[in-house]
Amino acid sequence: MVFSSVSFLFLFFPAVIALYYAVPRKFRAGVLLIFSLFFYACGEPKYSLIMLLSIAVNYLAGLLMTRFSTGAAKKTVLVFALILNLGALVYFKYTDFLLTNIGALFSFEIPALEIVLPIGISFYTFQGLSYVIDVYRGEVPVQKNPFYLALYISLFPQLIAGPIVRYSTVVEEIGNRRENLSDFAAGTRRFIFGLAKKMLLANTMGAIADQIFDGELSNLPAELAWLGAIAYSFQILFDFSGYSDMAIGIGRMFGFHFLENFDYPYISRSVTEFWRRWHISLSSWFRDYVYIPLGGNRVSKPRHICNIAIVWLLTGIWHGASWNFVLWGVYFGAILIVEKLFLLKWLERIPGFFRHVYALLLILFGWVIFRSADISSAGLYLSRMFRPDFQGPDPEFIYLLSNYKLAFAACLLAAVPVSGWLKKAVGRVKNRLLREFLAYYPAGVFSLVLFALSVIYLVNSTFNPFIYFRF
Amino acid sequence: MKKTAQILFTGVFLLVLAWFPAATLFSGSETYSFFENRNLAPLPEPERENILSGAYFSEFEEYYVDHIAFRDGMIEAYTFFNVHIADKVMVNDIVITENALLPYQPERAADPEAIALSAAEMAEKYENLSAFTAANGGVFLYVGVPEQSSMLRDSYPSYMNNNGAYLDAVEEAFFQALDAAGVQSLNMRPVYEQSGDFERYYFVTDHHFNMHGAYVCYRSILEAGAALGVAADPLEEEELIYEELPNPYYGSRGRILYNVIRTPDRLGIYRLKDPLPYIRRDNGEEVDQIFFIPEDPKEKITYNVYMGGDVAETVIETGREELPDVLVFGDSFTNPVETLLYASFNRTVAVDLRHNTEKTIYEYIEEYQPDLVLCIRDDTAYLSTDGNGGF
Repeated sequence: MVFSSVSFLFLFFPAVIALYYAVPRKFRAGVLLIFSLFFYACGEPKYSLIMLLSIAVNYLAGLLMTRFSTGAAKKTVLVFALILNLGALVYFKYTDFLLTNIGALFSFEIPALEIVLPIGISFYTFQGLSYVIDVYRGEVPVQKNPFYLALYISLFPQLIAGPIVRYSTVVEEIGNRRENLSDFAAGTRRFIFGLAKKMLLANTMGAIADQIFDGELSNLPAELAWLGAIAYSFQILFDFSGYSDMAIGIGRMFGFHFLENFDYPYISRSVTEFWRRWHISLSSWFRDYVYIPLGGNRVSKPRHICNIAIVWLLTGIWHGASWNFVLWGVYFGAILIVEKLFLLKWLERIPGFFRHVYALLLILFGWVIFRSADISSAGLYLSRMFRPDFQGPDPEFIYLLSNYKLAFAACLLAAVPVSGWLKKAVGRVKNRLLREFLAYYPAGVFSLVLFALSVIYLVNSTFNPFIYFRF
Repeated sequence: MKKTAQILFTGVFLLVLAWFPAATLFSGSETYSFFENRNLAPLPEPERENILSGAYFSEFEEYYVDHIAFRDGMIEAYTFFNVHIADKVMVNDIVITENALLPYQPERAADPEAIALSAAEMAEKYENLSAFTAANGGVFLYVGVPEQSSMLRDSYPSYMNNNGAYLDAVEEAFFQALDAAGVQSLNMRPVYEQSGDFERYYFVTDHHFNMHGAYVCYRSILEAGAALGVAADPLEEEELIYEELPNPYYGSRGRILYNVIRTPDRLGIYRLKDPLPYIRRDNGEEVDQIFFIPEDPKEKITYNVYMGGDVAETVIETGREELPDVLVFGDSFTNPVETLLYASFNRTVAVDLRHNTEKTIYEYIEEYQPDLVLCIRDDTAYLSTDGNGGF
């Protein structure tokens, strides 16, 4: 089940809210757990077992680690937990990729096993790992209640597409939350903004990007290639950050306070800054559980570069079992290394506008690699972006621009912190009554308008006129 | 003020969340979507297999979204927003132009060899039919009608494809092939073009010609028939009363856009000044209307006003043995033409092969021995062997 579905919005969601707030406080975690398991089972019931197994492994590992007093025994348990967690992830996500490439390397054909990837396995595996590692490090207490740990790993708002919530973030709230109207209202507004990003912006930009990326690339005009790359850049931002907004919003409606996952990444002035603003929960996960344990930057320069390279190789491959994701990780790893070595210092000397352009261009090229079907398609696409023989705007380019002008304008506005600017402007209003009115009512009305539009778009996505109306 | 705003905001949100499932539960169970012209998804049966595979939940989503309360209103609002506020050129695959609502057309390559081959194959089918008609004492006439998007192709924005080159290539190859095969044909495109005002023959919001276009087509058919030795007097305009129905007209394309674009489109009909007695049977059942007009002038109407829409078999007897008989088959372009044709013939048999599987067109000809056999098809279907091209 996904948030942007009618079944979620007008069955699951009202049911879970109603039941959650109807039962006494001590049963609320149970309500969330049951609904979370049902939420997951709606997508792929048989894969619920994999998730339950992952929960059981992490629960037992946590308990065992507290039972053992020696470091070696604890470490052994941790290693087992890591092997089981990562083993499942590697098996489901990378087996076919590995077999295909081993076959190609040794020039023989290994038939693909066609393993289906369980939904959300990359996210809940990383959440489970964060729990066992933090318990091992003694940074969080072990969770003795298996249902609480199950709730942490399977909590439906962040189960399928993150953000990767660290156990330390919600350890207090798992068993003891205080819901209130202020949080509920803020969560609702956040959920609506996320839904609107997904339904109004991401899906619209996705249609444009798909049309261009999935078309014939060898004849792709440069202007269309740029438009496709821009559309995809908007799509992935609003799709992913929209989902995170919905997850954070729903969490807040039930008293959870998840950390931010996106912070207007396209206003960055360097790639380093971009990765501090984009998918923050993943970057910080790799930082805390891979980069720092490897030594981080407190090692020799070559080792430091090596650490960055390892992290970005893993970041790339985490996104998918394909060489273009590997290349994408390597691409950003290389840029980050260059920025760390000298480029950031140079960038600081040039005007901010050019730094924005620099960052946006590199991000854009990165998304082309990410979106392309394979490395050769990515290369071809990038080469089309710089085709020199411009012969006037392509008809499809004009059509897409004129048809989606409002959507592009909305994307531009939503990609920059307009709400922050407005809040500042409202804060400067001297009249207290007017200031309070402006602070609370327009945002609420705007949210409800966005909600109405999102629902309309959601329902319309199923509009399916029978082929060409031949009455 | 903050708390009041929060209560109001969350109250409205929760109300909406609760209202939709409740309203859906208590709203009537529709099975058909007028605007989409399709059956709505049925409620899936929960079974072990579909629950375990997850298929049940995706089928339930399809069902729920098809039946959700106020669905048509929401899709209409979507259409209105995209047409009037987002100012889109194309909504729901309909291209919105000043003169017409047109379909989005993916580019079709005009491969002359492939087109010539298909045209020759189609012409051979009509040649056989024409020979069979002649063997049964009649003459065959193929009537080609430009579809609205073909006739109004210049209305497309310059940056959009209109497939004009492809349609022209098909038309030229097809009529040449018919000529070469000795099949009598009538191409309505030059007839409409010669009028100098061909836009008046087409709806803005529908892919068919309108009653004016149908009347010109009817006259042209009778003239062509007379030249082939089938003498039937056409109805002159003085013998007819033109009437524009007050009902809101939902053309095939306007319907996809929920009629959110105001156009001058009205559905017109020609009534006979002197009503002609007739007996009409649709698939053997007696029917007493030519035009199917609802009593309520505010009720939506479609092209189905003409003859009641596409019917597998219609036989109209006027009991005037001195007049010739006609058999007409084709897509829905035939329907408004039939509302005039029956008055010029003794017996009119109309067949729509898309709906009829019991008899072939050859069996109809053999059974009714018509003096004139007409096949009326639009230019997007000249080379199509589907439906009425699949005899």
